Amino acid sequence: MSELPLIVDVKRHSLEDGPGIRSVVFFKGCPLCCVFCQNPETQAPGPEIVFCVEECILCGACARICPSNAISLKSEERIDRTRCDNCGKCVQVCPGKGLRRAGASYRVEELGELLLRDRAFYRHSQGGVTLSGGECTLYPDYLEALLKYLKPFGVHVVLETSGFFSYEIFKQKILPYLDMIYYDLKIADPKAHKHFTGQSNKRIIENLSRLIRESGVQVIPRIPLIPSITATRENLEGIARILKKMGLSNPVLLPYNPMGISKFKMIGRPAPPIPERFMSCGEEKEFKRLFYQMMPQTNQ
Amino acid sequence: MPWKNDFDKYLDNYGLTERVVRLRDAYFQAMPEICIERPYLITKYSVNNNYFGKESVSILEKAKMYRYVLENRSPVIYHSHGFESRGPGKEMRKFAFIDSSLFAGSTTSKFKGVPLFPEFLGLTIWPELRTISTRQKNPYQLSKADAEKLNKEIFPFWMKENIMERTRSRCGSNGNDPVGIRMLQRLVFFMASKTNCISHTVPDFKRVIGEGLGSIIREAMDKRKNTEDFSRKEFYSAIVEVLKGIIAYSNNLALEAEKLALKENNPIRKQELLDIAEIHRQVPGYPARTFREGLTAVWICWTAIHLENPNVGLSLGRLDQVLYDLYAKEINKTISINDALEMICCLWLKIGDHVPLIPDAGEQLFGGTGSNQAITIGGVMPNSSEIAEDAVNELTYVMLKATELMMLRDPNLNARYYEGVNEPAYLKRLCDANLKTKATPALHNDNAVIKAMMSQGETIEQARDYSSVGCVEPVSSGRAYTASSSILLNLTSVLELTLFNGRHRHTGMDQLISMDTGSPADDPARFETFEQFRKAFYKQLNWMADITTSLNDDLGRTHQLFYPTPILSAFFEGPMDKGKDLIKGGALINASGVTVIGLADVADSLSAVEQIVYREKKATFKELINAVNNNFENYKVLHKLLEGAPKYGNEDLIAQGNIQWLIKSLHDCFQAKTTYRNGKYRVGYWTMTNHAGFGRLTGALPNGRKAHENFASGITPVSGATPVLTATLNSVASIPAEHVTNGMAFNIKYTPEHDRATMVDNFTASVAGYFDDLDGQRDGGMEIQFNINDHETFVKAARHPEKNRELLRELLVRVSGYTAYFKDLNPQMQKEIIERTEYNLKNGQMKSFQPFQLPPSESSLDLSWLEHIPGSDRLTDKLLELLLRGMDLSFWFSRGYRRNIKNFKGRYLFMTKGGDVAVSALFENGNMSVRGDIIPDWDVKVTFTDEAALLDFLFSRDQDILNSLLENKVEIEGNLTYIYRFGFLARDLQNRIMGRSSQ
Repeated sequence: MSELPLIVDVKRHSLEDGPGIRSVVFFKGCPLCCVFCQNPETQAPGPEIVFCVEECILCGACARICPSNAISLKSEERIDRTRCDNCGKCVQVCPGKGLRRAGASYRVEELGELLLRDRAFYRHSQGGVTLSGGECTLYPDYLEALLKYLKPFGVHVVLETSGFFSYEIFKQKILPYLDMIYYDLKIADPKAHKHFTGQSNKRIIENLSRLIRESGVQVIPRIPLIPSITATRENLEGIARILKKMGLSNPVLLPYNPMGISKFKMIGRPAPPIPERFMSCGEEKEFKRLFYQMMPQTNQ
Repeated sequence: MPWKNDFDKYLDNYGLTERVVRLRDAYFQAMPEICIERPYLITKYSVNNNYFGKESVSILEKAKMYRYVLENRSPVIYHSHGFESRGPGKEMRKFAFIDSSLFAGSTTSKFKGVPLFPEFLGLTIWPELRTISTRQKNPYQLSKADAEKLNKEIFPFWMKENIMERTRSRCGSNGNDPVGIRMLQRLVFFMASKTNCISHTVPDFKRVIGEGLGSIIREAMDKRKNTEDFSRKEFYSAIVEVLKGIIAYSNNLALEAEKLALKENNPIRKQELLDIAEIHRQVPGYPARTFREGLTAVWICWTAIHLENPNVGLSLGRLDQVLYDLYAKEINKTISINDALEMICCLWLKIGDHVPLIPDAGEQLFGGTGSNQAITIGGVMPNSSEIAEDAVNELTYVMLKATELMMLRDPNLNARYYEGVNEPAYLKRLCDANLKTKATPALHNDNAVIKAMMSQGETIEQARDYSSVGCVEPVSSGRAYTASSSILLNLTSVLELTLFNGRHRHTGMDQLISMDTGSPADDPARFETFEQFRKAFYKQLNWMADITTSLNDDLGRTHQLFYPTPILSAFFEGPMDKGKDLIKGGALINASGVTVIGLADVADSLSAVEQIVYREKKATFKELINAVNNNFENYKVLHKLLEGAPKYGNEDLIAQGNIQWLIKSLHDCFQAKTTYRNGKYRVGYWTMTNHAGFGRLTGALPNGRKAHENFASGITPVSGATPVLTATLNSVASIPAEHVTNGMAFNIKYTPEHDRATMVDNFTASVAGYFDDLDGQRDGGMEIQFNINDHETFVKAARHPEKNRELLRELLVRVSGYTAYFKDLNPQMQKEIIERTEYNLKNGQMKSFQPFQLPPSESSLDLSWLEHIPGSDRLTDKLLELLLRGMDLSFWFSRGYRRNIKNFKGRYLFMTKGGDVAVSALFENGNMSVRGDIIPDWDVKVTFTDEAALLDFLFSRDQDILNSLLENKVEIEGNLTYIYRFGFLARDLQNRIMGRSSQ
C-alpha cells in the first residue's frame, strides 16, 4: 500500500451509526463537497490546522514558531490561511488544545488495534465498527486490509457512503466484508445535486441500484434533512420515487444538525449558506410524515 | 434449587405496606440522638470491677462486662418518638409516631441512635457537648442531662483508658510520641481506623440461624472441658458469657413484649406483641423455624456485635443465601411475597437505626456517612464444582425490590454477577434497579474478584463465598477477618515527600518527614531520568508503608490488650476451633486492609512529570516545583501543558503504564508486610468522602489539579479528564485483579434519559463490556457503581437547599463505596459529586460543564466575649492569659463551673514555638492555678505560633481546627484527651460569659 489515508477522528461508543455500541472511523477526503457538510474537515484529503478560540490562552508560542508568518494573535481567526501551508509546527508548540491537526495516519494494525479495544462492548450490545468519512471508499486497498484485520475477531461492520465510488473496485475489495451499508441519498434532481454537492447523482443512483440487485448486503438509504435544500416537498417526492423503483422500503430521514457550521470557521472556511438553528420538532415531524406517506410500506 | 424461571424479577405489583410507610417517614423525619446507655453501663461496670488502671483487660473480663450490658440495657420493643430538625442552628423538636416494626430491639436505646464509645473516639466530642445539638452540619440530639452525665460521670474515667492514649503512652520512645501517631495528628498523611474500631468485616450467621446460640454455648463448654490451656479455657468461658448475655437480652425483649401485650387493648397490636414475644423466646437461643425468626436471629446478634465496637463498615454478608432455606420453606405456603418483602423492609430500617459519631472537625473528612453496612446478593455457590453454580434466587430479587422501595443509605446493597453463570436478565435487572434508585446497588464482577481473592491464597470455595465489607471490599464471608479499612493512605502525601525530598509543604518545609532520604542524592532536581524519579517515589512509599503498618500493629496490640472481642469471635469461622480471639488471629483467614486516596491524581502527576519534564523537556523540574508552589499563578502555559499531559482513563500508554506501576508498587510494598495477626496487607481503592477531605488539605499537584480541589474518587480517573466512556471503562478493566485485593470503587455518573427501556439496554451492555475479560487478555473490571442524576439537579440542590427540601430529603448518592444522602455531605463533597465526569449513554461522551463554585465559608470565630472578663483592658493582646484568668475567676465564683473539674488532675503547658511565651495551667483538688513558666511532667503540651491561632483552635468550629493543625500553627504532644476536656472548659466559659452578657 502506498500512502496511508488520513483519519480525522475515531468516535467511540457511538449509538447512532448502526446497531449497538460502535466505533466510527471518519476518513479524510471526499469526492463531494456538499455545502451543508457536517464535517467539513473531512472534505480535503490533506491535513488541515484546526483552531479553537475557546481553548486559546494567547501565549503566542504558535505565532513565534510559524515559518510562514501566518499567525497573528490580533486576528480572531489567528491563521492567515493564504499563507499557511499546514506544516503543523504551531500544533506541536501549542500547550493546550487551541490548535489541532485534522488528519492523522494510522497503520492498518494500529487502527485495527484501536477499533478492537471496544470489542467487549460490541459483543454485549451487538455493535461493531462503522467506516465513515469523508468518503471512506476512496481508500479501497486500505479498507480491504483493515477489514481483513477486523473480521477474524467477528466484528460487525457498517459502511457509510455517499455512493460516489467505482463499483467494480468496491465490489472486489470492500463489499465482501460488510454487514450493512448506510447509503446517503441527498438530492433527487441531478442538476441540483451537482449544484449543492459538486457532483451529479447519476453514479450514486446507479451504484445503489446495483447494490440492491447484486449484493445481498443490507442497505439502508439515509436522507439528511437540510432546510430548503433536501428538505423540500419536491425533493422528498423525488427520492421516494427513486427508492420505490428500487423496491427499498427502509429509508431513514436524518434530522438537521447545524453543528457543522462552526467547524467551517475552525478550518478557516467561510460559513455555508445554511440555517444556524436546529429544525423545530414540528417541522421535522411534518417532513417525516410527508415522506413516509409517500413510502407506505416503510418500517419506520 | 426450587427456582422458577417464570418468577417476576421486577415484582412490579408490590409496594410498601402501610406499616413500612409510617416507619420510613419517621426514619426520614428523625435526627440522630446520642445514646449514653452503653457508655454509662460500661463505665459503671468498669469502676465497680476495677477495670480502670489495669495493665490489660482479659477477654473473660470483657465478656462479663458485655453480658452485664446485654442483661441491663433497656429492651425496647417499639419506639414512640424521635427528634426533628427545626432548621440549622436551632434546638430540635420532639415528635411522636406509631412504631409497629416487625422486629424488636435496637442498636441503641434511641429510634435513630448515635452509639458512643468512650474507649475509642467518643471523647473527641467533649468540647462540643453543649453545642452538638445545634451545630450546623449533621447535629445530634443530646439532652442537657445526658451531656452533664458524659462530662462528669463518664468521660473523665476514660481520659487515660482510650485507645489513642493507651497506644501513645505504650509505644512512644525516649519521651517522644510514636512517629505514626505524630503523623496521624498532622492529618494529611493517613488515617488509621483502629483508633475507632476494628469492625470492617462480615460475621457468620449460618450457625445462629441453623443451630441457635445454645448449640454454640454447648460447643464452647465442651471445648473448655477438653483443653488444659488457660487462655483457651478463658476464651471459651468468654464465649459462653456473651452468648448467654445475648439470649438474656432476647428474653428481656420477650418479657417486655408480654408486659406490653397485657396492657394493650387493640387486639391486632396485642397479637403482634405476643408474636414478638414468642419469636424472642425461640431465637437466637434455639434454631430459627421461620423466615421471620431467621431475620430476627440475625438482627439480635447484629445489635449485640455493635456493643463491642463502633459500627464502621461491619457488614451482613450474603443474606439472600443464608436465609434462603427458611424463605423457600415458607414462601407461598405460610407467607406471601408481600409478607417477605415487608419483613425485609422492616429489617432494612432496623439496620439503619444508628449513625456513627463524628466530631465537628471530622465532618470535613467523613461528613454524611452512615455505618456503611453492606449486604451482598447474587453470585455463585460456595463450592468447588468445575463450573460455578448460579446462586441467584427469589430472595435475591425480593431483597433488591426492598432496596428499591426503601431508598435508604444503610444497608448498602452490593450485587455480584458471574458472567456465563448468572443470567444476563439478572444483570439487566440490576441495571434497572440502578436507574430506579439512581445510586444502588453497586455491581461486582465475580470472575475478577474471585481471581483476586484466590491470589491471596484462598481456596475456590472460600473465594466463591465472598461478600462486600463496608464499601466494596471483598472477603470470604464469616471466615476472613481482613480489617479492610485499617489504613487510609493519602497517596498524594507520598508524592509530596518525593517532590520535596522528604519534606511536606503543609507541615513545615523545615521538617524532614521521611527519615531515610535526606541526602542530596535524593534531590529530585538532580534526577536525569524519570526512572530515578519513580525510584525515589517508591522509596517514600515504602517508608510510608513501614510507618502506617507499624502504627496499625501498635493499635492492633492495644486492642488485644484492652478491647478483646468475644462477641464478634462467636460469629466467625476459626476462633472456636483455635480457642482464640478474632483480633488475636483466631479467624480462619487473616489480613489487614489498606485503602488508597488520591490514586488517579498521583498517577496523572507521574505521567505529567514523565511527559513534560523528562520526555519532552518542556519544563525543568524546578519550574514545575515553582508552578505547584504558586498554585499555577503566573504559570498559565505550564499549567496547560500539565493539563494536556497523558491522563489515566484514556488508554494512553504512558498513563496506563504509570497507573499500573503505581498499583503494583502499592501492592508490593504492603504485601511485603506482615500484620500483628500474621496476615498480609491487602490494598484497595475506595475513598468514602476522604478524597474530598484530603483534597481540601492538599496543595497543587503536577497533574494540574489546583490547591484544595477534590481528588478523584476511588479508582476512578480524574473528573473531566476522560472524555470517552469506553476508554475509561477499559482502562479500569485492564488493571490486574491480583493487585487490587482490597476492593475498588469505580464511580460513573450517567445523565438520566426519558427512554428508560433503551437506556437500560445500553447501561447493561456497558457494564457487561466492562466486566468482560476479553477471553483472558485482561481481568475485567472488578466493581462499578453509579449516580444517575444530572449536573443540574445536583447544582440546584446544593445552591438552594431551602427551596429543594423535598428533593433533598431522600436524594441518595453513591459517594465512593457507600451510599449517602446528598444533603448530609459537606459542601466540598457535594462539589465533588457535582463535578464528577458525567457521561451521556446515548453517545458515550462526557458532558462538559463549568466548575462548581463553593460559597465562601464564614469563619465562626468570635472572641468579643473575652472582653467581658475583668481585667481585659490590661490584657488585650495576651489572649491566652485572658482566657486562663477568665477560667480561674469562674472557678472561684461559679459553683457550677467548679463542678466541671471536681477530682480532675491535669497539667497543661502552653508555649509558643520560640518559647517566648509559656503559660502552665494546673488542675488539682477542684482548683486551677496558672503559672507563667514551663512545668515538667505535663500531661499535654501545646505549641502554637501565635495566640490567635491557639484560640482559633480552641473556639472556632470545624474547618478552622483543621486549618490550625494543618498550617502547623498548633502542635500537640501528650494526651490529646486533656485538650478535649480543656476545650469543653473553655467553651463552657464562653457560654457562661455570653449567656450573662446577653441577659
